[in-house]
Amino acid sequence: MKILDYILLFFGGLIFLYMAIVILSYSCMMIVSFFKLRKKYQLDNEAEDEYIEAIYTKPVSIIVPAFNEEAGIIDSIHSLLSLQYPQVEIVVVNDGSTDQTQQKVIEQFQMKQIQKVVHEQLSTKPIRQIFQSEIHPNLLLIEKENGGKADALNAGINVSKYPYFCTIDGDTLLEEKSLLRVMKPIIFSNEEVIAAGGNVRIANGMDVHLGSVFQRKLSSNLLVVMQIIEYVRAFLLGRMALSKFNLVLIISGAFSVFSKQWAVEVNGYSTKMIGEDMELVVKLHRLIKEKKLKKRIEFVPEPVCWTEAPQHMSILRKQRRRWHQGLIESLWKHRKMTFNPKYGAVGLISFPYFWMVECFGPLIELGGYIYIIIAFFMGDIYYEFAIALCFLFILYGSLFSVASILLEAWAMNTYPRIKDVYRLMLVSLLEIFWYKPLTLIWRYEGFVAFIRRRKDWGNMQHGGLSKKGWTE
Amino acid sequence: MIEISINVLIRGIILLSVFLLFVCIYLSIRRGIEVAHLQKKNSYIKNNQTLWYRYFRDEISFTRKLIPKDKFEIQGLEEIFLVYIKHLSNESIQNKIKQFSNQHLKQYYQKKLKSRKWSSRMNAMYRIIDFYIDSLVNDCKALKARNLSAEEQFLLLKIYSSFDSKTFLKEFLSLTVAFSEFEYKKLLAGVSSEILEELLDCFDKLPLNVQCSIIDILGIKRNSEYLSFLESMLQHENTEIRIRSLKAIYAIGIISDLNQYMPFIDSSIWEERLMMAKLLGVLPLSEAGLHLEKLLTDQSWWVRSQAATTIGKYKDGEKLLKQVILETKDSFAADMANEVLKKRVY
Amino acid sequence: MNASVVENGSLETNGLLLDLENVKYLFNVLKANVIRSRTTITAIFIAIHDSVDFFDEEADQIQAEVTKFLQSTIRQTDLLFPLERPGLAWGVILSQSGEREAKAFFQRLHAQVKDKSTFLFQRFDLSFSASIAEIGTSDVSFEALLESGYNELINGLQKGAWQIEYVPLFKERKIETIRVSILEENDIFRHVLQTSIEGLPLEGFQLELRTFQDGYEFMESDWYQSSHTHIVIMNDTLPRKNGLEVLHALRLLPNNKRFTIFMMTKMNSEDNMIYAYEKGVDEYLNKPFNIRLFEAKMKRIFKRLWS
Repeated sequence: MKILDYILLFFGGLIFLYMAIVILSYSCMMIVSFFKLRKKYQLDNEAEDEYIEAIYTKPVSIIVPAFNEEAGIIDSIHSLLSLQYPQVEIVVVNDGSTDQTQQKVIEQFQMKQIQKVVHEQLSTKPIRQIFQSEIHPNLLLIEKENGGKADALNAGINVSKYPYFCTIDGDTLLEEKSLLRVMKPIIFSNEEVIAAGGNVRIANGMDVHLGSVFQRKLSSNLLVVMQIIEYVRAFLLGRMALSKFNLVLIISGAFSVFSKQWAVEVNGYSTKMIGEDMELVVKLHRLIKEKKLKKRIEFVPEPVCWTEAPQHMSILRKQRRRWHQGLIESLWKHRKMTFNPKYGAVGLISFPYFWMVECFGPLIELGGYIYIIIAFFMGDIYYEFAIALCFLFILYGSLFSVASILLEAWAMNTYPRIKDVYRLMLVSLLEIFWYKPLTLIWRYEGFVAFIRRRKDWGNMQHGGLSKKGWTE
Repeated sequence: MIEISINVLIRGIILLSVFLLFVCIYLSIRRGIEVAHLQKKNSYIKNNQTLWYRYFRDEISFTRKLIPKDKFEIQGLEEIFLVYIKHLSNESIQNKIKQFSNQHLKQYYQKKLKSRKWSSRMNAMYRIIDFYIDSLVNDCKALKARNLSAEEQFLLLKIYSSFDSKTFLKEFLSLTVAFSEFEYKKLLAGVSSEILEELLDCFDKLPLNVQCSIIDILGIKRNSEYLSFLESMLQHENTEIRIRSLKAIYAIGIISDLNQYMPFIDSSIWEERLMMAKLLGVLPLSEAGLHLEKLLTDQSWWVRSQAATTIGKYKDGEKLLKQVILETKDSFAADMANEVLKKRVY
Repeated sequence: MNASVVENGSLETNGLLLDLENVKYLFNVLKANVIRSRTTITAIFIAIHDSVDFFDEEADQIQAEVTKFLQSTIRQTDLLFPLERPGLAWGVILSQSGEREAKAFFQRLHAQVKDKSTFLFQRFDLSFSASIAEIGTSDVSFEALLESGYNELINGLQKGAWQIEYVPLFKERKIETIRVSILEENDIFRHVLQTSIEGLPLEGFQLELRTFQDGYEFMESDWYQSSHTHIVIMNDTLPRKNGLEVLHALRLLPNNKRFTIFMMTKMNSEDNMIYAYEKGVDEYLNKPFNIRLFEAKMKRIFKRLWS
């Protein structure tokens, strides 16, 4: 009996300690975010218009990998075409889709087959045909054999002609100034910044049409609202605070810019991995330190991109599982960077942070939930222990979420209607009771999947973001 | 021990919740106020935009009705002014904006310059630049007493470059902050030719990325007066400077003496060969053809691609490309030539 | 209209005798084209002045000879026909011409008569007078034209030889409606453009102007599908459907020549501009641009509509 007591007490203490550390660091990050946002709060961002002229900007190729994206691909391309950026090329890569993706694009944009000499800097599955639009000469379509997202991206890199490229999912929407904003660190840096990323927000429920956001409304789907809260919290607590120390590890795969030269140097995207975008960033960090380059990777805190969040539990589950699995894969592949002073801050701080908080953290939290339930029934001191943990969870979960929502509402005003803000707050209070445990379970599944080495790009059904396809 | 923790926790949670509640209430109230402010601003715009249009187009003379009465009307006016500045280039309109701002908006921005909030000062400086409020130059100079951020220093320099060339030169040459090339270019783009000349005089003493920026600007200006300077830079020891100079000369579009450029065609640095592939397009095909053919078989993909594109731009380029395809043993060159030929069809 | 003179002096073309019914038919075709192609046609009526000496028997011969002569001097696009009254009179419909051209035509005739350039003029000392009616509208019946032409011709003949009288009745062009579309995202600037264009002076035109915030709104409306002359002023980047797509769609339409397209841009990219010109942009406006110059360009376009 005593042994059991010790074990339980040990685990209890561990969980307590972990929670305390997390709460402390979250609080710090929240304060840092607050001050950063406050400074920029009322700044007039019109200055961005100033560098819209072709002579000042660096040309960018936008690579759009597409696998069975017939629902959202047209809207996505339209939003790319209305970007305010002087020299831009759009390369859509059809990775062996089995639906009407390619036909739709060819028809909508009047594409004709062309002959192009491809600079094969990275090896990919063979490219069958290349098309160019008659309306927009800077829009290309590549038809290739299916090889996965990473392979498609690499093919796009080969065909692209500009020194910088950015990647975007087939169902993501950019705003007019998105590319300008995300290129800012690169333009301002004398080419020291070799990769930059932008923040993503959820578009579900917004009035979106042909690439323009009309009205910012909050979705009525509970699952979507939860994800919005998650994103806001992750953004404020994670990216905003960490970017200052350039400890960025994961750039949101939905929208990031890379220097082609350096991406090719690390062999582009790794095809055998799931979290290929994050892994590319890790590879670049590694290259910087191993070759002692004076380069860096920066993250633009402004939200620049909208994405479609899964509306159904099953799809969300697949997504989260995949993310977690990809994260662990990338960390594992480069595990020798952990606590390795050769890799500077990334190795000493960033890696351990991600191992602890992002990778194992969920397991510990899940353990916490289970522990509470067990302890509850065990009675005596365990009962009180359970209560204590409960309160800790509430503190950690609900209150931080509410604080994030308020901070975001104050500084960035994504949802102008105050009613929406109230709703976000109320929903976030309940997060820890049902949504959090679910996501934890899914992340655990991702962990298991990593162990079992299951990988696939996934066949996720998308509803498309245009008004027609959306029943909100 | 656990009891104490629970109590602490409960107190902590209650405290935080109360705090958040207050924040929430504060936000709601503030949002309401913001909406009212926005309405004020928009109604100023709606009521006055036609009046301003007629004043700018010389249809009516100045009337005191145009003067904004409070902060929000000023914000509306700022929007109107900015639209005119960004979309139209008429000097008469710009002069009117300048005059009006110097007279009636000076106090507003003066106050903003002295604000403790960084964003207020920045906004004020942006507007001073946009609306040509030169009467505030001295107030801006006074700002140096504080510890200025890099962004503020940049804006100050920009203000000097428009309103006070002497100070601009002095400050520019004694810069302690390193800006990016992009920022240098933004500063130098609007600078007078006298200042540019002075910078060229002390060119060697400037840091490398300033030098690169200046060369780029010379290319952007496309003024053939600077051609001899750029040609002298071709002998520079630094690769980057040579490449930029070639680029700027390409923008100007004149090759005075091909012999000067010959070494670049055989250079070991591919960027230099690439620039030559572009630059040769300035000469007639009879002179450039041979060299371009050579570059078409270059070992760098980029050089080959550019050489083919350049040949394709000539009237007789098509003929030359077809000839190359027939005669060459280099399959890569033939591929490139083919691609350009196919493109020309449309 | 290749006609040949048949024996009895009447004109024939393609086997069709050019009597007044046929002429009327051809005239209606020409006059319908006036509005469509925006070029005037002019009718000139010429009659031999009384003072000329000749015998009645010679009248027919003169009729035939003059007819032949006139037939040889007019262009292939002109229409010659004999007038029933006052006798020894002809009408010519000059296509793509105005009063000035008709007057010049008559003066050439005068010069040739004076120079005695043909046998006809050597034999007979002929003199003519004329009436000229410029036609700028399709609102004119053939009969009315003949009537007023005849009246003024008589006036001219009464005044003397080599006189020209003008018929002003049909000169006035109908007020045409031109459509203007502004596609601009910024509210304030949209208003500026609108006010500017609405303030332009118009002679013989009226404007119908509509503004749009994005490309899609414009394309979804049927506003641009009418057959009016249409001036489109738009940005290259627009939300929803950008400028290039609108350009492409408009230039694919049949009769797309009615569109004059101004493209505004902030980006100042040479490649973009060259490509857009190739795809059918008529005029580029690099922001910031000079609004007075823009207005001058618009005025010129209005003027050039009627050549």
